[in-house]
Amino acid sequence: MKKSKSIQHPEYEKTPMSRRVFIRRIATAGGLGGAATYVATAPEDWPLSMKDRTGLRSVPLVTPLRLRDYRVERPSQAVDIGLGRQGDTAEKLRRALDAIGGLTHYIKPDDIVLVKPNVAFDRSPNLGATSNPELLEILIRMLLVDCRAQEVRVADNPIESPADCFAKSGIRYASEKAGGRIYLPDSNAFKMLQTPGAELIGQWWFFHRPFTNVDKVIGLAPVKDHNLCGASIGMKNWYGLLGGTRNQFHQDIHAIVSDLTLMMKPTLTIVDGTHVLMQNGPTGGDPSNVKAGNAVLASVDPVAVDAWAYEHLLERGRDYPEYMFKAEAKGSGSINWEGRVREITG
Amino acid sequence: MKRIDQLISSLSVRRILRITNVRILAQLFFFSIFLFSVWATWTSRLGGYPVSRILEIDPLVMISTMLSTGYVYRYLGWGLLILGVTLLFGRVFCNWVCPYGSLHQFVGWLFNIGRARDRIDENRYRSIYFLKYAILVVLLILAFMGALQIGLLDPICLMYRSFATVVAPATDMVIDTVSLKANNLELDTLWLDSLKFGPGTARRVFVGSFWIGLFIFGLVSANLLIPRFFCRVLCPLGALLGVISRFSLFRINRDVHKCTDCNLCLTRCEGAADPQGAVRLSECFSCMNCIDDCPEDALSFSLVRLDTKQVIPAPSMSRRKLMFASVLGLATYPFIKNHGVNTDENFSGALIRPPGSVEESEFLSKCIKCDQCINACPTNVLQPATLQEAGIEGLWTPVMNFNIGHCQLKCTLCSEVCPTGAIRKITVEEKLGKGSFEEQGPIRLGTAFYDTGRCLPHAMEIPCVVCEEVCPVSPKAIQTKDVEIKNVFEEIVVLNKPFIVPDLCIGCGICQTECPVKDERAVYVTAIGESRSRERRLLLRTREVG
Amino acid sequence: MARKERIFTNKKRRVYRKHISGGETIFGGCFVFFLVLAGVWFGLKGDDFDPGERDISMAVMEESQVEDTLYRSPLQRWADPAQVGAVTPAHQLGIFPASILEDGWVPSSRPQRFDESNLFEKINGAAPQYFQYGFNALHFLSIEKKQAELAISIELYDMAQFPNALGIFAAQRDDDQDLEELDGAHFYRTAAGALGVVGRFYFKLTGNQNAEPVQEKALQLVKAICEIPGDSDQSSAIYAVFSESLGIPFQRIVYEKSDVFQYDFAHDFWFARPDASRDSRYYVHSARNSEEAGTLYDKLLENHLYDFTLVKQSADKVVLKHNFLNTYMALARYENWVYGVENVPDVNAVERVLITLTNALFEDEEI
Repeated sequence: MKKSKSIQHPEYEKTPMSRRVFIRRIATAGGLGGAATYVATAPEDWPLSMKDRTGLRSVPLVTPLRLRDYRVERPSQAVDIGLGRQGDTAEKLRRALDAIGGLTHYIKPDDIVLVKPNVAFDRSPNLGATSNPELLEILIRMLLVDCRAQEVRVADNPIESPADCFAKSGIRYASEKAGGRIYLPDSNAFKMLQTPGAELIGQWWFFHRPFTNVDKVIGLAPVKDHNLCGASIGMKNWYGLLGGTRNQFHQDIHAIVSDLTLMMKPTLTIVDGTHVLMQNGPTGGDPSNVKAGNAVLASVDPVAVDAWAYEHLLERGRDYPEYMFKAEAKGSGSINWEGRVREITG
Repeated sequence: MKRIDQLISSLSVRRILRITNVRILAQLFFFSIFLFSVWATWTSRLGGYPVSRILEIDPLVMISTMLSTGYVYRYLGWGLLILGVTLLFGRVFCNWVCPYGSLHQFVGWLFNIGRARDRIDENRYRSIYFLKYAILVVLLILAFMGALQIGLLDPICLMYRSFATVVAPATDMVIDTVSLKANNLELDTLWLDSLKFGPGTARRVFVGSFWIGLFIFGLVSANLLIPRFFCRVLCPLGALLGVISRFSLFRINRDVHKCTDCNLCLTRCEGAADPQGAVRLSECFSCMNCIDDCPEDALSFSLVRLDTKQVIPAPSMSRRKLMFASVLGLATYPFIKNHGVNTDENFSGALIRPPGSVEESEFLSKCIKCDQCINACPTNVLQPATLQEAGIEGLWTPVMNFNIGHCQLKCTLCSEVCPTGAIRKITVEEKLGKGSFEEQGPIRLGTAFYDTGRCLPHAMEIPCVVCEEVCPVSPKAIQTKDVEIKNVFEEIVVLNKPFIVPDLCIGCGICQTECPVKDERAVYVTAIGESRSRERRLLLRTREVG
Repeated sequence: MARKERIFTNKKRRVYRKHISGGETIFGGCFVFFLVLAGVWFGLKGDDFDPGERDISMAVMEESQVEDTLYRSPLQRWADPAQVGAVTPAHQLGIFPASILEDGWVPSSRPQRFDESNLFEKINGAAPQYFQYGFNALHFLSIEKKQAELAISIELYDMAQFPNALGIFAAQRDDDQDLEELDGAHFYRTAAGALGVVGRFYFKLTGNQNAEPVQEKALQLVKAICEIPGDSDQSSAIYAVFSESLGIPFQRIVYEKSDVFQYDFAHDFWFARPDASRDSRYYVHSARNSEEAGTLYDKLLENHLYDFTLVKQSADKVVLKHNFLNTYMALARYENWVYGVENVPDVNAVERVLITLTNALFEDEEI
């Protein structure tokens, strides 16, 4: 073997790795490798294991919300449904509320109250397709002034463009004027909600954002004709709190509407019978579809008040839509309103 | 008075109010106005803000639409303002007003870590800078023939389009994510909504916005290769102003007696206008940087009469190139027109224009693709057209995609913000055909059709009719035939089988948007039957109700 | 250590020039002021818009509101296909009521409707007679009962008015048959069906065999036809006079639309035989006005004189005797009425019978 010619500088000195460094490196490599092997291959139930044998462990776990029961026991001397038909809108509302024990019985100071009007469509206030903004304004004032509520929130998930629906229906202006706070549904606003006992919406996307820390919930529903389910009144109003693919609901609308009464146990249901949409519902859009109802109802029983409004405001007799019976069967109230309505007159 | 005199003469005040600082202030101001305009172009904010004014003062928009249509729409006369300013001061628009110019300058400044010597070389004039004049010639000839394509490269249109379809939704997405995280920590984030470009609605998406984003991203990135690449090489508006600025009264003057030929004036020259030699008037952006950079005080922005020499006033474009550009323009016109994607015989059913749009060939001669309408749309239904729907000529013009949203019944915002009248300004009354417009009827965007093979009641014995419920006209244009059947599971169900009454349908598309058969909708709207065009109507006569 | 890598520029903005002119400063101040003005202007424009253009007022909506008058077909109920008779929905029966399908009969064809333009397709040579009597439409349907091989075809002639229906019925019927009455319909039974009139309808029911079930069904069909709306209007003044004032049964009342007495100028005459055993008949015509009545009267008299001889004549009344048959007839006129009696065997009776008719016609008036 021929000795190769050195190309190194004669003064160059090697500095070999020290034993300590060498051992440290080996230990690090071994430790990391061992930990990686454990994490990747240890059985799933071992601590810190990341093994996913079936691929199902990586499916994200959703912990759905649950809604509270917002109901308040009515005073024993009051009735279930209050009806106001005299005076201006404020007077009607006051009379209706007084018959069920007065608003102050239900809303306590420092409560955060959510009012859910029906703002489903971009229609003028007097066309009956949306809640009456005047009534909303009066209600918010009563809540803030008479009941000294901490905050009043107004929320709905309209079918059409939310900002436009709130603006053109007059709800936004009314709410801002009276001091309410509007929540619009955006991409963050929905979370999965669990409703035990519901037939079809056991888990569904729910407009949860305005419900954070809410103490009381009031529904403010117009009375509308509805081609598919007969009528859209107080119970159908809660539809506007759901999101996701709610256009599937029409495949069994009666089951859905009755499920809504399981999902939402409101403090009060206020039925706005000032402008009643008699036909071409639920969108309306023409003054010829609207009749002046001149009535405001307040109720602690969402089923009975709907039945009364169906009979007296929509004038459809006692051939009630199926969802009312279903809601009754699910224990959300009872259809028979007789003897439970009081109208304060004089 | 004396105090004011003192104030003015104090050196620090003079340094603060020096012209380059004022220029930056102006740029900030106009950029803010631009951002505010994009932000305010939203249904809950619009009010009366002139959100399209920056487009309307763009003289290229005025001149090219005047060439293509023969008229000056609504506020487009404001373009004269910039023309006048240019006649007095040269291309100040480019470096004082133009938000796109400001963006380029800012990016160029922020990322330029080169040494002064390299920068001086970067900022020398290059012969490729003639290209923008060729582009201008091609675009103006196209406009004169009737094909308006300036929007592709006009900086203001480009800026609006990119912000509406790329920057705004991206910002909203980031804010949403932050807001969601904060919500999980129980923080109140409602105030964050005011920062969003589209608050209170589901996330907005824009079909094909990737390419729009890539376009602006590429152009902005090009600053790293050639400073202000777009402004110097491509910008047709800059070219137009460059042509005019040869007549300007004020310009950069160099005192040759003071000048030591140090070339420092080139360090930050935005326009590559050669202030160290004979200044190229048509390239100079009047950024005034050279004045600050001259250690000898040899440069000033002053009246032309100080020195009528030492200047190259006209764009350096030979007659040969001009000829080539003209021929190219003339040839391009039939080239894009004969593409045949958007003629009255062969047009896409998806080519549904927003309400108030003028007849299609006129539309194409007016739309500058600024996509302000798309930005204003509250339901996200307006989308930049792809090649498939509108061909090359109509790329990025607004079309309605009813899978994404519907045309809000009482909304006319797109028509209000349109600067050129491609979407003529209409009122809700006119849109709905009420009041004084009862004779002409509502504006129809198209006609709805059923795919009965996919419609649940028609094809699958399953009740549905969301479409009928949401149909906004009164009486409803979707009616039903109600049949009670026993289905295969032996349940008795009532099927409301929907059908269209075309006389009542206005093509708003909410039926399609709400249809649960989400991939290929069982009810869908196509462009046929739109009222703006005689050629694309469907019904011989419209039967009336009542 | 290598020099720290920079991401952004670290260049400070430096001013190399030594002189900044006062003019520049003043311009700067003015320009900043201008920017402030422009900003204020822009901000103030926020309220400068017409909300009315972005919405529509209730007043305008009310002004151009549309009454919803669309036709909406009723809910089609589900019925068990096993019960065949019930399944044929009403809308597939045309004008016929659903009750024609009682007892398990089903349509064996779709209902057909013929009008003046295509009636020939159905009944060929017989059509002109119907046209004479103001034919409007023919509704045709055959029904069957498959198990029993029974079939009936229903021809329902819509003659527009009751007199027309009566007229065509009278022209086509077999005078020997006695008429029956049921729910306002007058008809007689044939070997395997029925023939009759109700209101403006003239109907023919033809069965395929002379069997009890066919007869029964025919009777039930008559009832069913009576249900068809708008057919019970039998109001005709002259008919009322004959049937009510003079008490003549339906069977002996006849209406002739045209070519009355075989004259082409005479039409719209009612005839009635007061006595079943005799041939003598009343006849009445109501003209539009007394002038027309006068003309008709003169013409009738003139033409009758070819076959009759004048017996007696006063201003508006003549008595004639037939040249060969030796029967008498009377012709009279009052205002727009032309009336009389014919085929009366002796001269005294003519006057008497005429007075009966006159009294019945003009009860309340003095003549």
